[in-house]
Amino acid sequence: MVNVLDSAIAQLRDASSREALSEAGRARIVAEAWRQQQDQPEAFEPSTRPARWVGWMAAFPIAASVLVALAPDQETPSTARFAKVEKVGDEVVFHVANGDTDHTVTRSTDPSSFNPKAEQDVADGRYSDRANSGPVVVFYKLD
Amino acid sequence: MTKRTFVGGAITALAVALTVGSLVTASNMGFKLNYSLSQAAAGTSKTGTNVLALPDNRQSGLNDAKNLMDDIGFAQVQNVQRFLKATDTLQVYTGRKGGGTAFPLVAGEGVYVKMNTTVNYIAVGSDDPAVAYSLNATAAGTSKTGTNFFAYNYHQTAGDAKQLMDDVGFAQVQNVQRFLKATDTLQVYTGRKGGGTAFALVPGEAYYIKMNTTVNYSPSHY
Repeated sequence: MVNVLDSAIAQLRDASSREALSEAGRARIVAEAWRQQQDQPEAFEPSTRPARWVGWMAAFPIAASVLVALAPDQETPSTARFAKVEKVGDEVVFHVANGDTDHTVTRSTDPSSFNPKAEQDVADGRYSDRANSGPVVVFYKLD
Repeated sequence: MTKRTFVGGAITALAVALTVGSLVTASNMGFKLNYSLSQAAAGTSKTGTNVLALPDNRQSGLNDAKNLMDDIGFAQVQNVQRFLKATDTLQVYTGRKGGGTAFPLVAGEGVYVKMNTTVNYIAVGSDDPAVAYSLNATAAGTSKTGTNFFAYNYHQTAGDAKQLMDDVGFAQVQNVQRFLKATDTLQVYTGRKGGGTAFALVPGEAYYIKMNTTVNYSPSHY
């Protein structure tokens, strides 16, 4: 029984110490691994050369100008703004920046709630309201 | 990082910068406030001294203390005062002979207006969403005790002293104080245990904000 077991262990040790692949096979695997590594896309390292960065920095304002120039001429509600506010006689006059585009003003006594049905058109870039009457505080939302 | 990733990231950053830039320069809220500036009267105003907060973008031509007196009605106004946080003192301008220099009005800073006669003043203007108010902690030459006289924005979401502290940053704020014109005293709210009642904030009023840490404050608003 002991002899049979010794023989099995010896055979196992003999098998694990033998190389299954031939010399040529191992050489092909190494060559293929090397080739695949060479085919990896080149990692991009931002240049530290000043001339290249100056070029990039110059390109940004130009790109920004082009984007602004190409943007639609109509203002979005978020860019509409009151350029000037003044009291003229009994009126409060709100002047709207870029008043040649269409804008509306909505009044409310609650800044968190504006009724869209109450919006009024801005004419000739100005909107006016009576100064000395009405509620204590009035909010004018420009769109 | 590949070259494509780098260029794509740069373009995205540019687009975000342009978008944010266009938003922060927007000003789409205007105001009209009918604000009572009271003369001295028992139970209403002890000495006729009132606080006043104007919008960021004031009405055209309202640039200094003299302009403000004229707009309210020169004869009705005894003086205009501003708080100097570097020394915790008040600079007074009377508009009369020897009455000091007409100091400039500054967005985000409140003023005191001392009245000879009660006037319902119409304050008009608009918001400047790009502005950030510097609320300074104690620092030599800048703020003696970290006390700032803040012009409350009419359309802020913060409706009381606690909400204002939270909006600024609770831990950064030591207390908020309001001027009580009936007694010429200050009501203090700390937000801490035993620190008083969180009083309501009112458009047209300015409040003292005492800071532990300097904060560039951009109020949350509607």
